[in-house]
Amino acid sequence: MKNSDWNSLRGKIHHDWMQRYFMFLNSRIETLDDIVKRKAKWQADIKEQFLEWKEKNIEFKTLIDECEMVLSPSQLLYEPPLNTMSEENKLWLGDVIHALYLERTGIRKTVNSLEAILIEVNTAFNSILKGVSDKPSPSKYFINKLTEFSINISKLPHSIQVV
Amino acid sequence: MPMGLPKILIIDDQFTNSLRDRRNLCALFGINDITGDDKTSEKIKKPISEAVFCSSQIKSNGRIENSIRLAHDAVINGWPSEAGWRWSLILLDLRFVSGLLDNNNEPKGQDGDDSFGLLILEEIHKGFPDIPIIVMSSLGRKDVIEDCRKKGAFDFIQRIGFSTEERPPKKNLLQKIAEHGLIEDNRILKNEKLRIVGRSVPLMKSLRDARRAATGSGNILLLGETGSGKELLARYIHDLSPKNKGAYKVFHAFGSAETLQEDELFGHEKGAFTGAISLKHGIFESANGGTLFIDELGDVPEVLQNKLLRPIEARQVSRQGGDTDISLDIQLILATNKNLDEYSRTGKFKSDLLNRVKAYTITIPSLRERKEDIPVITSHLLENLCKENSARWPRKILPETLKLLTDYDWPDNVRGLRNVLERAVKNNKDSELVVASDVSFDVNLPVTENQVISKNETITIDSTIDDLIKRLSTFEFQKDYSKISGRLPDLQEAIAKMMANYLLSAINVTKKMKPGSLDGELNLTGAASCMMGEQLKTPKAADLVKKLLQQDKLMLEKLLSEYPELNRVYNEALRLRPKNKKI
Repeated sequence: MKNSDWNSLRGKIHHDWMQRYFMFLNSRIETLDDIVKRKAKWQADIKEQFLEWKEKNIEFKTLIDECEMVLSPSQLLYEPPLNTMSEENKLWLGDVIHALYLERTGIRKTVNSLEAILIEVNTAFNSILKGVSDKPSPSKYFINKLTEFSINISKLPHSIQVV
Repeated sequence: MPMGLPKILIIDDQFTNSLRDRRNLCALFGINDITGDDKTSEKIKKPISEAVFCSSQIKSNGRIENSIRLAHDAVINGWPSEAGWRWSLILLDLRFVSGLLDNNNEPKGQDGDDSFGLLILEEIHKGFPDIPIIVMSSLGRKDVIEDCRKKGAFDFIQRIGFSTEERPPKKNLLQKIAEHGLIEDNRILKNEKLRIVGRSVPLMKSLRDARRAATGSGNILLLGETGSGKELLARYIHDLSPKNKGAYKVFHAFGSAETLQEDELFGHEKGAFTGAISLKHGIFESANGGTLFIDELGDVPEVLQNKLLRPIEARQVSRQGGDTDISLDIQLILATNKNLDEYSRTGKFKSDLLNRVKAYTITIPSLRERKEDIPVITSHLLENLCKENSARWPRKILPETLKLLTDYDWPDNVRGLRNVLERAVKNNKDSELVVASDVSFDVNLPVTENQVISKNETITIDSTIDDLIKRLSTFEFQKDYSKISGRLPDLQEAIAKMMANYLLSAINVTKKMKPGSLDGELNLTGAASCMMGEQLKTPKAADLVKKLLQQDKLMLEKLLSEYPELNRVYNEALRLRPKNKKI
């Protein structure tokens, strides 16, 4: 995936969609808690909006999976002017540059952390969907987890890390 | 009287175009959507406001374009609306996405105009400077916040997304409305007489200032003409402040002797003076933990002004005859209809006391500055008066009566209006209507900024000349060089014209009528006798008229040229007493 495509995806799901989803969740705290705690019925429109996370979760997974490579300076070897190098040189130099980048930015640690938070987000999401939760406010717990996830996504760089 | 919810105009592309997002926003902020285009908009539990949404965009030919005109028109529709309400405030987004539309009729790309909101802000603020505008910003828009302030934005509210603000969104919006919005007095009151009625911009601005001042501490100074509602506003401040559970005490600095006023303010210890048989708490102490309203501050005697410095500044008092300091936790509201700056300049009011009381000043508009409120105030007062006087209610106010009330200038403001309506009610207890003849105005003194009106003085005057005399003899000129400089010739001319008119009036009423003729014969002796109130002989009458007109040669020339009939009168006076030559 190219850096520009990755940023486009990020803008679409994190900047645009995520803010609207937060608004939906924050406006329905009581409703969602009632569904879990008091076994209230789902209204069609509420469920439809709530379930948007399922699809977006996959896109966020893609975002996380791709971020190590799209931010790696080794990509620059495949763009002008460095792309005139021989394929052999691109390979070994690319590996060196990438290794240095990994070491200096700790990006893998960031990615692992994001993956762990995403798992927690999905757990919180599913507990509401299944109507089973031990939290005093399952919806607030989900919102808090999603907030934590969003903050960490925000911390990701946008451009290739020339380190 | 049921109060409507504040009305907000929300200018935002996303929340106008996407009904789903709009519903979420309304649920989050506690807003009832009254735009009218969402047939399935949900009823909000305990809404704090009603809102109309406007995208400020036009959709046509597969495109969506931004349009300032639409925002402008939306503002006009509520300023005021046909129903009489006004926008309490506007929530304005900054970024508007335009360009090609996709299959779902949504903007395709990211042709976001980040500055279109700024253009709308500038336009609305220019055309409607009184409407408070709050910008809905995202966290990352700090770059434009300074720009927004310069262009007239009052405040900011976080748009959507996760909130970093401590207050929940609904409470946050409620706080913004209270702090910046133009809203009517919507308190829940047991006693409706305490309500401040009106929805004019000047009044709502004063109410807003009052809400901002109602912090529960500090000194607040209320300025306004007699009868404009200073005491009602003081009560409003108390009710909205953190001190509202505490006492609300009122002290009128007028009428009683200085010693009595001092005793009322500070109280006394037992044995402090002859007659002090027991301890008495002063009003400062009684108001501790609550609010003390001191009315007519400009009339506080100088000796007492000195004694007020300590409680006003240090929040401490001692009882008379005592040496124990009593600490005060009070909200102090002071009021006056006087120009304290002027009083301070002339030494009538201590400047160091003035500096301390002016911490936060609120001006209450006179009734003639908010004439659009007269109908609703009239209705409110009438209802209360009918109930108080066991008179028939409801009753209709005829349009011509309302016009009379609205055209009058109300020198004594709402109190004067109340008096007029009270007379109308008492004189027509069983009537279903309030007609023009039910309404009679007291000829009251105009309240100038330095004028003292005695509470015990009967102001109702029988005839116009008495009123004129009273006005002239009690009129206090402003003690300001710039305001009185160069006015002597104008005053002299006005007085001379007034005397000329008086003379002509007497001439008119004493004409000797001839049979077969509509014109009467000039009767100088009769006119002079009428003016003096006693029968004068002809020579004395002529002398009187000459003296009246000959005060100033230049003025006489002017009068004779402006009042042609005066020539005839003057010539007749000269004929009867030809001592001076005819001009």
